[in-house]
Amino acid sequence: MVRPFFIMGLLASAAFALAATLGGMGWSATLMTGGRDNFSTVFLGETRRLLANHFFIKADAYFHGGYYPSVFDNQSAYQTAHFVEDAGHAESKNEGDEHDFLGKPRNFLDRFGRNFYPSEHIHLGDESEHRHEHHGEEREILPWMRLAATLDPENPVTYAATAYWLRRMNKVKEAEQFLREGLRHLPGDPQILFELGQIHRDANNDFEKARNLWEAALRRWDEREAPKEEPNVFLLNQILAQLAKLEEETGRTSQALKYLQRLKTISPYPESIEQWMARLRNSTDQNK
Amino acid sequence: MRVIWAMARVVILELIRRKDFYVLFTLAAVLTLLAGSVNIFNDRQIARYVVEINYLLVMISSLVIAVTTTARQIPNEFEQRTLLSLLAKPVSKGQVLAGKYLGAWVACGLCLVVFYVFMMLLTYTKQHGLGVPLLFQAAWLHWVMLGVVIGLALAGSLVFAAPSSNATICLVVVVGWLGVGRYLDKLAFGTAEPLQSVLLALYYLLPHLEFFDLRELLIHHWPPVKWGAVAIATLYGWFYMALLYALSCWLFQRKRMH
Repeated sequence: MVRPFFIMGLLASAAFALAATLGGMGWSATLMTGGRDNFSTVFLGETRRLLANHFFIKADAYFHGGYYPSVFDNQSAYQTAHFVEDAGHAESKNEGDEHDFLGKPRNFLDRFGRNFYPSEHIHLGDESEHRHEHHGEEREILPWMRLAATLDPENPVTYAATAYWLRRMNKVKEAEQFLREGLRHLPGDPQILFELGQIHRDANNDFEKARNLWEAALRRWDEREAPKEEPNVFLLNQILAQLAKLEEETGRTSQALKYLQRLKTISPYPESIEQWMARLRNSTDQNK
Repeated sequence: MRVIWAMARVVILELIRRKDFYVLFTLAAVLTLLAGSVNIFNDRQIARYVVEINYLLVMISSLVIAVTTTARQIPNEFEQRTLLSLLAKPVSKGQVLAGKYLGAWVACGLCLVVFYVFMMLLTYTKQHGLGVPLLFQAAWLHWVMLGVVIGLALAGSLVFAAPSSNATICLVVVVGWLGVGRYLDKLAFGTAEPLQSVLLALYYLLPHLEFFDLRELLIHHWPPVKWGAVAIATLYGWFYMALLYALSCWLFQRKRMH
């Protein structure tokens, strides 16, 4: 009679000890990181970044409808995720032919095997020879982006690229919410501020708010990126170009020229920036 | 044929009576429904990740059912001492093996029907109806692949002492082969002899299970595979099934009955 009670007591003690240990671990981790960590951070540690990267790549594979190189294939044309590149949130490092990473069939088994997996390059949302795309199929990348952001909440590219695709699907409110979630994890991040500005300019037509956000992004870039050994010049390029365009549209030519002057020093196409500046100066002279 | 079918029926009934399939199906269904119920940016039409998760669970469950069901057939007959009395009747060893093989294959086919019907219903509720021809091709080729896996487990059950070790080895080999089988020739060219020749020999001799895995086409809404290719893959699978059956018969002939 005593034995079952003894076992139940033992199990209850073990459960209490386990709960106290796990609770303590979570509590100390939360204290160490200022209360910003979630379950995945506490229990997965640095592994979560690897997993986040895996899901990030998975999103790109979905963007290609499954036509994606494995570790055994030539990945040179897939160094930068295409959905991020298309969103304008990363400079392309891709080389080679993205349409033919498989190359010619190596043997008869390889040739026959290609019947059973996707062997044509596509991007979701594009029409192709063998597929009829339905509007808004880009949405299929979103679960993996959401998961990647949950596992690694400190990667600004995840927020910015996801917001771009949400914006393209007319999900402006969700895009803004997601970016604000990103700002909670990465306060003042220039890339997230830049994308937030895009939302206010393109979707809300709120030029004033967009200007404020882009100016804040520029300030943050100068504070955080400029001192780095390899700053994100691609982002600076975009911020300055968008600011210059906005100032031009709102008739503040001198401000636009100021931004273009800086843009010219970092742009890979200084001649076209010079032409842009000349056009602006001409239009100002004519107005006078 | 009547004798073979009678023995096959016993295997099918055994799977129906056991809880393996029900547990795996319930688990797969619950996990899929949980994954599908997640709200992702208020978009109810996102469906492909659910199909992927479901397909993965179906693949795992079907492999586990196929391997564990087959791996215990012959060892159980030995353990319960029913094999000798079975062979004392006018039943040959080849018929015993054929009955076990057919029974396990048909039982797995029945399980697959349930799994794939669930997958189809699931995608229709997500407004992402899978094309029936592609779904049929995926289920059919999946079944043929299970036939090859069952052949492997049957041959393994005549080599390895315990069903557990046989099942573990079979699952490791099948999963590994599904993952790297397609690239083994590429890997071979990066290695030195004699490993290169060994890898190339394995590439050409072992069955290419990836021919039976339409996961990527199914998930990403590609059009169905050419029916000619499905027919050739089926014949390819049947060839390996016949080969593994012959190997099992040869092993069974050499096996001591006591």
